[in-house]
Amino acid sequence: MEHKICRENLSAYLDGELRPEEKAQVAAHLAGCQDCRARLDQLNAVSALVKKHAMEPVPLSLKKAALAPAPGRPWLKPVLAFSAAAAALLVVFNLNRPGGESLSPQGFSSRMSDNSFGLAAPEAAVAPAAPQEVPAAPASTLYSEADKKYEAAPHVAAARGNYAQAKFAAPRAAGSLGAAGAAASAGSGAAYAPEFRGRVAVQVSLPGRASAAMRTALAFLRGTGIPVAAATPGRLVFIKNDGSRTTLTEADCAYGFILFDGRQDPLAVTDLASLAASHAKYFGAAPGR
Amino acid sequence: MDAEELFEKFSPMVYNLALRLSGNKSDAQDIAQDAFLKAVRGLGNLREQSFAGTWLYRITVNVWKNRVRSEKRRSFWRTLSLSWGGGDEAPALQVPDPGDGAEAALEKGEEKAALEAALAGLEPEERAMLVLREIDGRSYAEIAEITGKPLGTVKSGISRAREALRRKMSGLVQDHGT
Repeated sequence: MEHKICRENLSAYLDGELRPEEKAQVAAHLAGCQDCRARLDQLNAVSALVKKHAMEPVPLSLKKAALAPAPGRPWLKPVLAFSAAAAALLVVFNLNRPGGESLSPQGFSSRMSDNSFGLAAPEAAVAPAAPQEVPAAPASTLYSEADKKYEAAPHVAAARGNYAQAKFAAPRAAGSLGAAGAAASAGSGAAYAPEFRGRVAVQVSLPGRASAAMRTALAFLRGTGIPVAAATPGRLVFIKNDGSRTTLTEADCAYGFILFDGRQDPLAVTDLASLAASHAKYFGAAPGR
Repeated sequence: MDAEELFEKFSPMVYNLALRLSGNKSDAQDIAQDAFLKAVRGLGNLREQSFAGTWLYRITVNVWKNRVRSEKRRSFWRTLSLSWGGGDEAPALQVPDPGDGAEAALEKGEEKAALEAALAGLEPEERAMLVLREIDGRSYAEIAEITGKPLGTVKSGISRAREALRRKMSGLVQDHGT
């Protein structure tokens, strides 16, 4: 082995990271080259110095800061206030409509019911995705009847403007544009589409229209441990771990559940009786999740 | 593993990794804090606890990369607004090689200060690779995964870092090495 090639490999030799044949070649060269042996000794000394001195103590304040609940978002206050006002206006206008038509389903954003939703995998966790961290819209319509405990919470949280700490707000909750977006889209006819990531089952139904069968299905899903979100029929966007997006519409699922694991295409289950079988087949197809 | 356990086990390395990437304690604390906040949010989905360290260090590196990107963007717009503003062109800064301080510290017999000065002359990612190897004993393959660099880059990065330290601290390592 040439002198130069030996030098290039000394560091990896020191770390035991060379292939056996390379290691043998370096060892053979070292046996006959005093310069390279001296260089290896020096690299060893560098290594010892780094081990001895490079570690700095962790500041005491880090623990408190790192394990504290997510900080509030001061900029969210005006957004929430505007959202709440827009939502209230929407409701008032809708109630005053002749014929009492319901709101456009697309005017509602979705809501998470389990705060484990969002960071489905380490890969997702490390993805630079600050905008996706905006919590669920404050004016989300809550209608999951099996989830009564959350029903009053969003309004309280919205009023406090401290959404990040509200217990139902998922870190990657869907519908980040919130009611402001919803209000705009309801007025203009543009479609506001909630987005979903990671492993999730999305309950699709109109507010207050969940049947006993749906509540049973919901209880089953909760039992499986999968995060369950709720949405009204309309455009729903599912974002896979690789970033690709699949959009389902009311035509795919106007009432039922959409299963999604972040890897496969979302599966709409409209026949609630087959939900258990569909769940087993869909999530069984992607083991280890 | 809960958040507290995660912190107790990995905070020394996360902080030191952040310190070597950012080069200063203030940014290191911010980066480590962000990394833990993100990690704790995703902890429930960590399937293999044995990979927690690699996973957490990768989050730390990504938090640092995002900060660097944001800073570059801010810097770009600052520069642009300055040039549009028609202001006098700022004189080029004469930045001394941070590694130059190593010799001075060595002369004063300050081993740690000499090492810090020599480390300051390395590229951030080379420093990170070096501490992951020396302090945490990570394999090259793990370091490649953590930093998102090819294996060959890790090998050459660690080699370059050690070689640079050896040159800058030649007096000290010759004493140690002989």
